[in-house]
Amino acid sequence: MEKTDLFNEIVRIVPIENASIKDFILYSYRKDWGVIYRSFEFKKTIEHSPDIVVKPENTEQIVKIFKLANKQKIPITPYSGGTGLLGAAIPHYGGILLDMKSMNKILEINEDDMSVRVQPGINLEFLNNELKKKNLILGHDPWSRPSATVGGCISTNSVGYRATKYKSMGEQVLGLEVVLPTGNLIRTRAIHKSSMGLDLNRLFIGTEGIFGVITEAVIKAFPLYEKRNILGFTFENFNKGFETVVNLFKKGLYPASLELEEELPRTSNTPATLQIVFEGIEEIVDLQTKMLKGLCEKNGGRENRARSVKKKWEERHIGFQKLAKRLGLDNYVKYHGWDLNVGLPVPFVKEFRSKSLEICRKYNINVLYVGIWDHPGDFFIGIMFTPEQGESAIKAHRELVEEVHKFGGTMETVHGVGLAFKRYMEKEHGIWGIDIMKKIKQALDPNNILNPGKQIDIK
Amino acid sequence: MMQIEKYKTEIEYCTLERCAFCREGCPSWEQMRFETYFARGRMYLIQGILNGDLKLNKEIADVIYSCTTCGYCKDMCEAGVPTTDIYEAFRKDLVKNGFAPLERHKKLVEYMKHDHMRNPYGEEKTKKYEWTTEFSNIKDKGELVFFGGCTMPLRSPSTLKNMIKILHAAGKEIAITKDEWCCGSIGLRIGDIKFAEEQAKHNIELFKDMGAKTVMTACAGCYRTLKKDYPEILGEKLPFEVKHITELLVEILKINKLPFTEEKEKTKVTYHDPCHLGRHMNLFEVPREVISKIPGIDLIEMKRNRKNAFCCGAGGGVKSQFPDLAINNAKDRIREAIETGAEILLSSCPFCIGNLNDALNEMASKIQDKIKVIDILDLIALKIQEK
Repeated sequence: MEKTDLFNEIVRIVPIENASIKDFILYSYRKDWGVIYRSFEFKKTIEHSPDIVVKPENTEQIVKIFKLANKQKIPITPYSGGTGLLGAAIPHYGGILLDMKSMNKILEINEDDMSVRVQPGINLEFLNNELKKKNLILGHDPWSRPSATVGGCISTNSVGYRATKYKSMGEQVLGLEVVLPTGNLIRTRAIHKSSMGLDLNRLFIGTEGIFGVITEAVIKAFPLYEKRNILGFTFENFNKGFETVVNLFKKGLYPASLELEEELPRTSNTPATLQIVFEGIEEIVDLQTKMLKGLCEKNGGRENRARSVKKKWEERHIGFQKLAKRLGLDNYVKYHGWDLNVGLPVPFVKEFRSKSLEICRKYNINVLYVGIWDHPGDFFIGIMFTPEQGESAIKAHRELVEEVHKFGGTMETVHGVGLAFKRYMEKEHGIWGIDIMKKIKQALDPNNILNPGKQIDIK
Repeated sequence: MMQIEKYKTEIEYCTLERCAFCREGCPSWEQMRFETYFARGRMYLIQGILNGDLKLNKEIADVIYSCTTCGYCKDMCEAGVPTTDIYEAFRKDLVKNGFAPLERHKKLVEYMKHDHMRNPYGEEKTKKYEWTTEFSNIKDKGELVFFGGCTMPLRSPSTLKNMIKILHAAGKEIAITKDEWCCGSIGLRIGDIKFAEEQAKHNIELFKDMGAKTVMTACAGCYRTLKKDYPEILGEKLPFEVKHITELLVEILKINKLPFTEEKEKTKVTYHDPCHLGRHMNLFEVPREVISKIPGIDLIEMKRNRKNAFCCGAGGGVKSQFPDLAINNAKDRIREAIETGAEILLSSCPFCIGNLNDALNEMASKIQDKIKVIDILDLIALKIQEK
């Protein structure tokens, strides 16, 4: 279908000002946040313009758009905050780009149910501020909170700073309204538990819009904490800090946030910093704090200055921007790099840490930091390299992923799959695992119109 | 070489790290809601020009000129990408390549250059000074020179009359010239800078002749231009100090020089930070200090205030070229002000106040009944008059 014909069809569905086929509009939707930076295996050619950008205002419009696209076999890419890191929102095959940010209303705050019903394009920061007025908060607190949206976070099943207590975004979902690729609409029941067969919400959590587009979500809201304690400790080395974290969990002391970080790690005895945040009822937070201090002391952890700990916490959403400024933008843009956020069985974390440093050393790759985030099994490693080191970095990355799988782990716990990690999906899920996904995709989306090329390939 | 090329690194950074923290709160994005209309999208477009993917054209010029240059994105960028400086550089490129000034901006520049006008409103030069006729205590020369600018004398002269009453009550005398030219803010903001140097030189010579030690203005736009842009244009320090009226008022109020009446009941007010005063010049607390010293006033902040304040929508040439965009933002700002429960929305920039009032006049009468938009000067004068 010609662009102008498509435009004429679309503006029968949405107001004319909500659609554009102008080059200068299309151009700005060519990528999401930092896909080139993180997913170094791709070149700039991964960027792609859509043929048309549409800003739907309601579910009915999306149903009509999907029916049209399905009939005409036009690819559709949902795009919201554009803060995904792995290319899930890139309109890789052109077609229709659905900019969901105009569907950004809070439809209902249910204080007794402790839940909120929203449209998917609502910004997390805004939603959190609105919930606070009712003494509630949002559990999801990713790096991108100032610009990410609820729909995008559910679709990538993203994880934030306070996921130790509130879990991933997917686990906060109670119910969804979803438009399927054929234009059919489903609405799951927004309740806290159900034993009535397959949890259909799960089809749309973390699947980056390949099975359907979320048009409404009911997510959990949590009580606004009475007190928040932010604490920091320095340990002699990673292992001492890690053992403390494991003991913390074994005691049933689940903080709101947990991060153990070792900057510029060597093989052993690089100091590691533990940051723990407790939030909740004052007396409980005080007790948790006291118990944590005892555990840290036992493993030789020294408490850090309250001011610097608080500063680090408060700057959690602007960390890399500050780093870029400190290094100088001209230095910063010269480097490539990535973070791997992997999930491992807890008993293998220490061994994986040593192995990962060994691999990076073998390829002469500079490791910026390693650590634990949210859960003792959630291990991260951040590296930086020059463009000349690109080939070595790719090899190191592949070996790291091999190791993760050997240890029985998952290669990504935070950011999703998109285009960048699609190549690892079969390794991660196995041939039959992928086969299930493909069969679901083919059943729901026979013409492969919805976010094609992401996560799995369908012929 | 294009002007934007000197920002190549910053543009590249923004297109690599597309955090979009500059989106929520960008006035042009709030209205247009396409990626193209906030800094992340604009930077990507500019990079598209630099790497040859896109060609300069009228539509891209429109995108760049739909920015109010409020500076919100620049302030939100912790990595330090100077977005508004990049837009102003790019606007110069657009002018140089014949895609700007845009149609309505062209007219404003013509008016400013016209010997009988020298203001962007197309009014006769003499009209700017009509408000002064009822005051015999305004001098031609003196240490404290008042630069009226164009908007206040031509669009809200009553505020200037109130200012004179306040200064009179405080025992301050000012000097005014009747040959001032537009400060040049418009030319600078829209990238047509050829004439700005001439305007700066003309005005500075006048101030020198008048014996100015301090040049004061009640307009946020003039304040930024005189204090920040003039020394940059001339490459030298100015031979006088530049003050905004609120800076003088705070000095006056510190020594309790105004005869305010005792107030039994409190009036709730809120304050809109003009971008050219706040984000551009870091003058956030001075106007608040002034307001706090007015008896019977309870200042309640809007959800977005100080560095986070939402632009009224008028700046950067938007009011003249894209009036709907300007008005729609102002309507949002008024709704935000009403949410505070304030009866009065104060500001300290005639351009913001004009745009906010234009918006208010278009809103339903029940909204108009809820709030009034006035200058801090008007409020003070009211409290003095009541004595």
